[in-house]
Amino acid sequence: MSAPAIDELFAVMAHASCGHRGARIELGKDVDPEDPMTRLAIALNVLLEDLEYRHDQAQAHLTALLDERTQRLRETQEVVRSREEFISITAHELSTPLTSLQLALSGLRSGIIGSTPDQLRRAAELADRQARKLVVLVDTLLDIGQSEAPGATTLHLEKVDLVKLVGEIRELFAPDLQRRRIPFEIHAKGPVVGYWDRRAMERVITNLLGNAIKFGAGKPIEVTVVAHDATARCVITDHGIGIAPDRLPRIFERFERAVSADHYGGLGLGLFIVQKIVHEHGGTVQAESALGKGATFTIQLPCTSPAASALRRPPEGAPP
Amino acid sequence: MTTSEPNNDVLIVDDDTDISEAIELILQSRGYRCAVALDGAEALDYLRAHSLPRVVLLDMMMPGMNGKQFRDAQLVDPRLAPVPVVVMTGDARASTKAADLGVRKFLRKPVSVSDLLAAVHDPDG
Repeated sequence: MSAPAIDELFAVMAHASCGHRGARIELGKDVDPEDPMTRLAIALNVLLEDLEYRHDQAQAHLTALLDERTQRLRETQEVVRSREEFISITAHELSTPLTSLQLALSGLRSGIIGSTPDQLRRAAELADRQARKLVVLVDTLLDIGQSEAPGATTLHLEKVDLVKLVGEIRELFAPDLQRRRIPFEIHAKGPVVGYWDRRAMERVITNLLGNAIKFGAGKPIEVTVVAHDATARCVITDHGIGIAPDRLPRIFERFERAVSADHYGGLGLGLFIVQKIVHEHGGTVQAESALGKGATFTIQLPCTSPAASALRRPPEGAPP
Repeated sequence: MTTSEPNNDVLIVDDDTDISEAIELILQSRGYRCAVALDGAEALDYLRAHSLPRVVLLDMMMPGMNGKQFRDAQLVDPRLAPVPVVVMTGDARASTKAADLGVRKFLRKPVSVSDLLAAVHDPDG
């Protein structure tokens, strides 16, 4: 077979330049390898081979890059979506107490409410409850902001009677309990005193009692507070809708909800905050529940938190 | 409640008892008589046992029977279907939510006193 003609070389090059893969100059077995046209044809074939290889490499690299970018885009979209959802839920949670607060205050200011002392008292109490609810919400949001930074939380430990605290928070919920006709019992033999962060413990009890009312289906709620071996134990039991077994292990996770958002509001942060605060105090919190059978939350707290002894130690040189 | 002309009865359906109380305080001061239901099922029970109110103020997100489920049940009951409903929601898509329920009027939480009174005064307007 003779060496390829220049036209054949041009034809193959034209074919390859149109993007056809595998375009090669055909060389017979008996070609003269020293012939300049044969050598040129071989060089062109090698070049074509190399170009296709490089093209494949570049293609694979681009595909991998595209996959990675697509994955990153999906993750970013998910972050944006959950952030938007969080903002929407937060706005809803803030707007609930704000609605009552605004109605009470505007009603008072405009003189619509207040024609009787009873109305004045009800409006003032209502406004006060909403302000407290907003404080709890803001504290919750601040807790979330801090939770990633280790050691960011400072506990302000002071002497707290847990029985008294539960009683005070029960009073906050009193109108709600009354309207829903929910029997509520506190079982305690006497004060249960420990060194805890009062405001944080108020959030713990508020979240747990709030949940017991919210998910309690109007049935009785019991709280037992006892102390044993320098450990305070607070058990909150409701007899409401309960928690499905598959949800139970995750209820202390952030943004976890055991129920449909079409029926129950909330940030999905209450139990996360409870666990965080209890752990910061060196304690534990456990949940037991079955669907339709209510739920029991048990908190155990050392009456003297690890940091408390240091906090209460008198400064050096101080009189004993 | 008793039947009266003009009808001054309002049914508030909200699981947040503080919101119900705030609305009640305002409306009672303006001479309306209020009944409160904690969820859709309680609201239906109330409507079936009493004379019909001039308006139902309906929250959307409630345990048990929520606002949408209440509205579905209301519309298939010929006696209850004509009762005007005003949707109360903190949702940014309040108008869409109300339209989905076939409700023209909605109050976006936080609700102002004037909007509340206007909605109750003229629930069909």
